[in-house]
Amino acid sequence: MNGPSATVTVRIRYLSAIREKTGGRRQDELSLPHGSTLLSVADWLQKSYSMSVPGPSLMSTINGYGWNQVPGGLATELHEGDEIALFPLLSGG
Amino acid sequence: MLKGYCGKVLRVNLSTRATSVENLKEDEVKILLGGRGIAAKYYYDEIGPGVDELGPDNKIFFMTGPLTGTPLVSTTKFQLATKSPETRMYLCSNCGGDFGPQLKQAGFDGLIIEGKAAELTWLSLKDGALEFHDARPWKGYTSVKTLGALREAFGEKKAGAMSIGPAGERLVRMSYINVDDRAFGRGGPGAVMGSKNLKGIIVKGSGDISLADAEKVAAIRKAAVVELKTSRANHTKFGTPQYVEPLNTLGCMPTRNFQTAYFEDCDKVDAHEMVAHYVKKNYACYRCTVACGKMCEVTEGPYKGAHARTEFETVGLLGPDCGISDFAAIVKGNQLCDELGIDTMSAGNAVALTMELFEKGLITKQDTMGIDARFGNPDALLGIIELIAARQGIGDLLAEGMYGVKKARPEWKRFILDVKGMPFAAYDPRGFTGNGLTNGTSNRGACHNVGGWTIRAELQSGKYDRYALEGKAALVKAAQDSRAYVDSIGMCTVVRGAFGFSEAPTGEVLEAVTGYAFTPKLMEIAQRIYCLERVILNREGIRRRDDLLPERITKETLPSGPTKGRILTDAMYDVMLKDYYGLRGWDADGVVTEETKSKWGLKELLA
Repeated sequence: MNGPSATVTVRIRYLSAIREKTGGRRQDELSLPHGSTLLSVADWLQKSYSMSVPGPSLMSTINGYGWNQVPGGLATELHEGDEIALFPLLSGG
Repeated sequence: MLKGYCGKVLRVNLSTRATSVENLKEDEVKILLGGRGIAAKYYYDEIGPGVDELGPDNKIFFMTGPLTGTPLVSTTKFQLATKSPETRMYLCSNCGGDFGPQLKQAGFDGLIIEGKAAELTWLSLKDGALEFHDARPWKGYTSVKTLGALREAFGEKKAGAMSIGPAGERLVRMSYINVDDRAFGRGGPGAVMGSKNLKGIIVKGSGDISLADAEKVAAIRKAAVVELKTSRANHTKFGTPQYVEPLNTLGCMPTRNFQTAYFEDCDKVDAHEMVAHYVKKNYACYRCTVACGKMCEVTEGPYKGAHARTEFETVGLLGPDCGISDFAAIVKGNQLCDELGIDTMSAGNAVALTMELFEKGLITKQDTMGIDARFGNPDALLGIIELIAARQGIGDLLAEGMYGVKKARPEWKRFILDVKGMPFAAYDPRGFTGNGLTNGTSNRGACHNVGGWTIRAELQSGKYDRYALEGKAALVKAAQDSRAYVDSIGMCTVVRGAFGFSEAPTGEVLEAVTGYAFTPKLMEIAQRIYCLERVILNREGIRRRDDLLPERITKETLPSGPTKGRILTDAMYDVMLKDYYGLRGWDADGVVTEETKSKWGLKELLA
C-alpha cells in the first residue's frame, strides 16, 4: 500500500457541455504516483474518455490557470489537491 | 454599387411624414463596409453633441451589411446607431431577427427614423411603399403583443417586425427594441422610439439580393454548414448558458451586485438545469443552422407558464448577481423584461443595486413600494423589474439608468457597476484583467462585445496570464477591431469562425457576395470604424476619466471563491490603458490625435 507521499490525488471536474463526453459524470478523483505531471492526466483522459487535452475543441485549467499558461505546460508537476477543470470553448454570451 | 448591397437608404421623418430615398455612397462602403461602420458615419454627420437623446432631433440609423439576407448562414444581423438615453452618448447596437433581411429584400440597405410623430404611430414598409398607421389603440401593449398586432394588421406573418413595450413609451432609459423576439438590447434605444411616438415597424420585401458569384456563395455555405455542425454542437444543445458553470468555476461570475464572483448555488441555474427542466425547443434566427436560442418554459410551481428565450447574460445578471438560485424565477424575470420592454442586463444590474442598498439599510420598503428587496428573493426580482418599467418608487430613479442614479445619488457610486453609464455584463474583471480594459474602452460603455471579448484568449492562448497586464492592450484592441468589422458585415458572431472572420481574416465570402476584395482590408476598415466612433465620443466630451472602472473593481478585493483576494487596481488598470491609448494612436487623455485621424483617412471622410 502506498504511503501518503507516494501518490498525489487530483480532482478533475467536467463542466457544462463537457459532461456530454463523460456520460454525465461530473468529476473524477485521480491518484497518481508522486512526481506525475499534467501529461499523465492528459493520457488518462484520452484513455478514459477519448478526450484530447489540451485541444482546440475544449478548454482546460489547473487551479484556475489555463494549461497553456502554466510555465511547465504538460510537464507541470502535480500536487496534492490540484483541481483540473475541463469545459467547452467560451466565446462570449 | 457593389453586389450584395441595394445601394439605397430610406429616410422617414415622423414629424412631417415625408420620406425620401438616398443613395449609399460606394466610396464610403469600400472604407466602412456597412452596418456599424456606415451607421457611425451617418451619426457623425447628423447627431451633434448637443442633441437631446429623447428629443425630436435624435435619429435612429438602422443599417444592414453586405451579407445581411444573403443565402449563407445566420445572415440576420443589422445595426443601429442613435444617441443613447442610458449613456447620453453614441450608441451602436447589433441585432438578429428577420427585419434586416426583409429590409434588404424591400430594396434598402438602411432605414433612418427622424422627427417625432404627433401621436403613437406604427410604420409599414412593403417593398418600396412606406405607410404611417395609428398605433394609439396599442398604447400600453407589451412588446410581444405589439409584434403580433403588427403582423395581424399588416397581413403578413413572415414579415420582419420591431416594437417597444410600455417601458419604452414611458421613456425608461434601459428600454430595448424587440426585433422578431431578438433584441437591440443595450443603451435604451426603445426609449428613443418611445420619444418619437413610434410603437413599431414592420417590413416585407420580395426582391432578390444580388450576388457577385452565386455558385461560390452556395459552395461556401455548404462547407460552413458542415463545419458548424461540429464546432457549434454545444451551442445547439445548451446555447450560451453553457458558460454559466465555467465562469463561476473560474471565479468570474458576478454575485450579489459583484460583491463576490462565485455563486454557491450555480448548479441550480446552469445549462444542465435549464436543458433538463425548462427547454421546450430551440430558436433559430434567419437562415441559421446552429439554433442557439433556447426557448424555456416553466411547467410547475409559482411561475408556471412563464416562458422566455434565456441567454447567458440574462441568467448571470438576473440570477447570481441578484442572488437568485431559482431558474424558474429567472425565466419569469426574463419574460417580464421582454414584455415590458427593458434590457435584461441593465435590469439585472439595477435590481442587484437595489438589493444591496436595501440590505445595507440605505433604502427601505418605502422606496421599494413594500418589496422585501433582499438578495435571493425571487419576488423582489420580479417586483423591482415591474417598478422600473412602471417608473414607480425606486424604479423611477432606476429608470434613469446608472448615469441618472449617480447624478441623483452620488453617494451610491461605490455600489454601481458601470462605465460611461452602461452597466456591466456578466463577467467580473477582477478574474481577467483584459476584461477590465474591455469594459473601460468599449465604444458604447461597459460592453463585453463591442469592447472586445478576450476571456478565452486570456485563459487558453498561452501568451497571457489572466491576472497579469502584459499584452492585454493589444489583445483587447484586436478583439474590438474584429468585432467592429463583424458588426458591419451582417452576420452573427456565433458563426463567424466558419467563414474565416477572425482577427486575421481569411476566406472569400465577401468577395463572392460583393465582387470587391474586402477581406484583406477588414482589419484596416475595423480600425477606421473604431477610431471614427472614438472621434464621435471625443466630440461628445468623452475623455480618459470616462474610461475608468468602477470603485468596486478597483478598490475592493474579491472576498471568496477561486479568485479570492484578486483586484484590478487603478494603478494596474492605468498600465493597460496607457498601452492601449498608444496602440490606438490616442493621446494621454484618450483623444484621437490628428495623425491618427489622417492614418485612417478620417480627415477626408469627415471633412
